[in-house]
Amino acid sequence: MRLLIVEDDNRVAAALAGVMARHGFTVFRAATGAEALARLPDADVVLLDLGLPDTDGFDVCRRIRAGSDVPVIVVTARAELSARIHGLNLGADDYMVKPVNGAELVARIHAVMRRGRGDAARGRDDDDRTVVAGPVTIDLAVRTVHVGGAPVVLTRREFDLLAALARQPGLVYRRGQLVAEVWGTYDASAERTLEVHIGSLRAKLGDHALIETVRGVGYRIVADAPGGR
Amino acid sequence: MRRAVGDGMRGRLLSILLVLMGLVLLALGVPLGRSLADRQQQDMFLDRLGDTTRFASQAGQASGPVDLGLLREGLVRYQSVYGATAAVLAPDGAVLAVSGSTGPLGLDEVRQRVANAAAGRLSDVPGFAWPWDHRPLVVAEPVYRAGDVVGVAVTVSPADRMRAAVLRGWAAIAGIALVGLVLFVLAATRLTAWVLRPVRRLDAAAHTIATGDLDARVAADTGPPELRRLASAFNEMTDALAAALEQQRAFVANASHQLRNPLGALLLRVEHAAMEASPEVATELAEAEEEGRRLSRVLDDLLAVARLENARAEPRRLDAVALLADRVRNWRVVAAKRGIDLMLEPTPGAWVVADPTALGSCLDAILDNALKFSGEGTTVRVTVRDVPGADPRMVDLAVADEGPGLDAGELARVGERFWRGARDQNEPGSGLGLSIVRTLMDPYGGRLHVEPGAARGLVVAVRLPTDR
Repeated sequence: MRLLIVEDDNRVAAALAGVMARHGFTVFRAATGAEALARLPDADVVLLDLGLPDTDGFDVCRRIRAGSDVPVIVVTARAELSARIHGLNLGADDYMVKPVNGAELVARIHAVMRRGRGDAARGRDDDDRTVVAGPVTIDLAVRTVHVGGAPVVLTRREFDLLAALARQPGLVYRRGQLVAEVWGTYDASAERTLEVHIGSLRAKLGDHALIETVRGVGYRIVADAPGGR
Repeated sequence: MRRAVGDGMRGRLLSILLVLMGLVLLALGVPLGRSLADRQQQDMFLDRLGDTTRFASQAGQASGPVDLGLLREGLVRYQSVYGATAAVLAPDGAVLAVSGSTGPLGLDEVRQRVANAAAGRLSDVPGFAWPWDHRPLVVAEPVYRAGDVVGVAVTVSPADRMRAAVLRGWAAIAGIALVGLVLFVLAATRLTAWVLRPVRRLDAAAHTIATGDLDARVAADTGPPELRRLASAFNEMTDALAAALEQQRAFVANASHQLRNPLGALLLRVEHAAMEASPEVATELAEAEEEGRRLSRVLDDLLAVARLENARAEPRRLDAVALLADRVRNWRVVAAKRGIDLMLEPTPGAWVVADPTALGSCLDAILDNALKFSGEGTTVRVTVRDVPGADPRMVDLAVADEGPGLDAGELARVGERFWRGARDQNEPGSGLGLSIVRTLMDPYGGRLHVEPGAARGLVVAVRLPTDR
């Protein structure tokens, strides 16, 4: 997933880019409002700082919204209530006050993406997608998995876990997020359960490279070609 | 209510001017009155001196009983016209001729003057006499014949009419002085009002500014030039003060704003490093990140204070009990989680005058503190109470906890910005909570009041003007 960071402060941008890249995002950056608008077509999601050197961040937000429905999350040092309300009114999908936590930011990006998918699903049957990764083909609609053309039998939890990872191939899913999505709870013991399920998934799929462990963060599926957006 | 500064000052200025004017009038009026009396007396004396001299020369030419008879007729006529006793005496005092009764001739002054005249001395001007002095005017002249003193002519004139005239003159002078004084008082009143108007305005403006409204300015277009200069200097000073305060506020706001970027980058770097690190190091880095979050909360609080100082309070009449009940309901969730019993004690209703948002924030800060420092199983009591032994127009919204409390030295420092109890250094928080309360309550006479609890713990109260 391609993430556009609009941020004039180099050091903040670099730190943010590091964490987001670690979460599997393809990060690119714009330092000014004009640059942001120019690079907008390449972005799947935009992180927008309000304090830009050339133009007001609110104005950038309004102009992005005028021509695109790409998710925009405002990430700014401006904490005032009026600024938060104004930003959301102008079309931002979320508003975070610096200093932000990377994990929270990722969770919010996912939340914003889910909402976007919900909209799209009404017209496009998004969950009917088929994700192809190497020899593995995952059919999300009929809940089947084939490895090299042969069907593989998965438990319900195993399939839910695989489906959650396959929704955005390439993107790293944090352990906590996967546990919450698949088991609907979160506690420390659930992470053990997750590891067990990942292990059995890898064994059944016979391809340990498909589900990649990102140390300190979580897991991701490395897909051949994007099945969806 | 405070008395306007102008009143006392105006009274003092007026009395000083009045005393001065009184002294001037006295200095002018007394000599004038004196000279008026002197002139009246002198006129009458000269008049009578002429008459007496005439009688003396007639007496000097008289040479027989016939002449003496003519002289007496003259004297009688004189008394009938002027009402004054006239007589011609022998040098030894024996009466040679008299206009009527010899009674007035028995007066001491008459004897003395007759004796003087008999000795050949001329009459001298009588000394000053007050108008209420009823002594007659006595003039005695020697009668010469062939160079020898052969008798004395004397007139004894009642001076009452002359003295009444003097009194009238004095009354006229006093009347004129009084009219002058009244006019002067009117003029002085207006003058002092003109002089003091800028002072009054300065006083009002200074008072307004002291209550925190830095928009107050003084009109510098009336009054004496010195005071106009003072007024414009005052305005400049207020401008400078407002600018300095605004700068300070902007600095705090700006600093805490500017700190967010580097802090944000730092926290992201720490988070990133924690992902790469071994579990032990990751734990350590997570702690480091938490420190950064604490710092960030301090910045938030600082910004909040800066904004609060900027905000205008809008005091309204509020139901204190309802407000407390509302806050207690909200905080009961937090209290229950920490095993603390948070209760609103039954109290009679009380209305307070405060800004609802500000007061709500204050109660939040106080309740937050009380719950933070209370142990499990204790009770936090919230109540409205009268201020013990103090102003009946104030009321306390008090929160009493059973926590560790504070010692006397600590009590004095509660509410200072960033101050935290020595034992509380490790509690979450920035030490700004009660200082925010103090800042919030300040604009409309609210005060933060802290005292030790009855048995233990601490009572923290917002002391507010009440409106029963």
